Amino acid sequence: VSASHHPSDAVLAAYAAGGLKVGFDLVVAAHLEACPTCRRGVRSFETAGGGLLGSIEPVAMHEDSLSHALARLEREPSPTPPPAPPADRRRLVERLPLGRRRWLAPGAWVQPVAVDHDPADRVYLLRVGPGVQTIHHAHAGPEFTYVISGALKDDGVVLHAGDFCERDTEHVHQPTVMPGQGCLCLVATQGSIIGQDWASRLIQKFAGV
Amino acid sequence: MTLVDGRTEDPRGLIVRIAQTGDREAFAQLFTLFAPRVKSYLLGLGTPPQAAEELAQEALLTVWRKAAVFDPARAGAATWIFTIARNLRIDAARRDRSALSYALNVHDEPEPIETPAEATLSSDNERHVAEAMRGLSEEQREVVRLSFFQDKAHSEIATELGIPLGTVKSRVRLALARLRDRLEALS
Repeated sequence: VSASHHPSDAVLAAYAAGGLKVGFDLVVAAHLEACPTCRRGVRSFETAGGGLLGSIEPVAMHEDSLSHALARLEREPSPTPPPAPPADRRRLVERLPLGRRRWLAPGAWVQPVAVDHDPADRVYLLRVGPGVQTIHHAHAGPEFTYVISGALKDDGVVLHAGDFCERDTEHVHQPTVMPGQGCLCLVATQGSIIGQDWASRLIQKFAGV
Repeated sequence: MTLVDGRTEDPRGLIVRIAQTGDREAFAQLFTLFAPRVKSYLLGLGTPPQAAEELAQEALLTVWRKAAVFDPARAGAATWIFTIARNLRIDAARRDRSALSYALNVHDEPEPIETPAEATLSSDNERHVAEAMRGLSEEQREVVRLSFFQDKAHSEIATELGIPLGTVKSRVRLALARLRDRLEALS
């Protein structure tokens, strides 16, 4: 199954350059595991980054930095590849360090992803039951969503497992989970999301998203 | 300047020499060539000067340590060093390590089968970046550089360049799409 909604080139380039915020990079990485096309894009932008190192204005190192580095090499006389860490073969979304799950409603919960993200951001798994509308909300900043399983309808677009969606600051939306099965998503949001009515705000208060 | 031209030794050869014989002269050349550029890249992304200096040094030491796993058929030297520096910066900035996000489990990729002729392609790719950049307008080159080497939101780029946000977004979109198309057409 190949994804049909992908990160923009700007997002892939920022990922390749290491410029995405913590949490947002995870959402992109989750999509990359599912999407060979975007992996190819990231490789292209890594090549671009490498090539652009050639046109970047060099900034002088301290004058003794090379001799310092050579001295450090004396203590590691021959280049030996570091032992590879034991491979954890699970998918990224199964390897995420998770906090405590908070129940919202039958079949619905949020679970924070315990990575070292900006305290102003939110990074979480969101599970919503079939046919349920999520809260109507706007954003204080961008929101990245990766659909792990199930399907979600947002502004007339149906997002399936493997799809990636980026929403911007000005965007107000109310994603709805498609009937059939529940939907599990990995979400990163800059700042708290801003609910549009008091009931939404109430849910938010208890869910902490 | 380009890092791969006819006058200087292909940096991939330097890495291979490090791997094969622990060649310190090759290391010194590589260090002189790349450390100041890696430092510049790190500074652009907002790394403080002292940390940028240390991480640039660490990046080149990592090149030494990992030289044996460098596959010149798969990646150009600059690209490899760029990704090493990127990962070190991410590791340094995050204690818990969502380095997770760059350690993907991807099993479906067939090993590339490359003939010796194709094996020169990767450093050609880096050369193609310069070519592809020349194919962009000066305005597009500017936003590409800012996308890679400055930790700036599009709104900040708009303010800096004195142009509307919508123009920045469409310029970034077009410039990156052209760069990617060009690189993927050539590889």
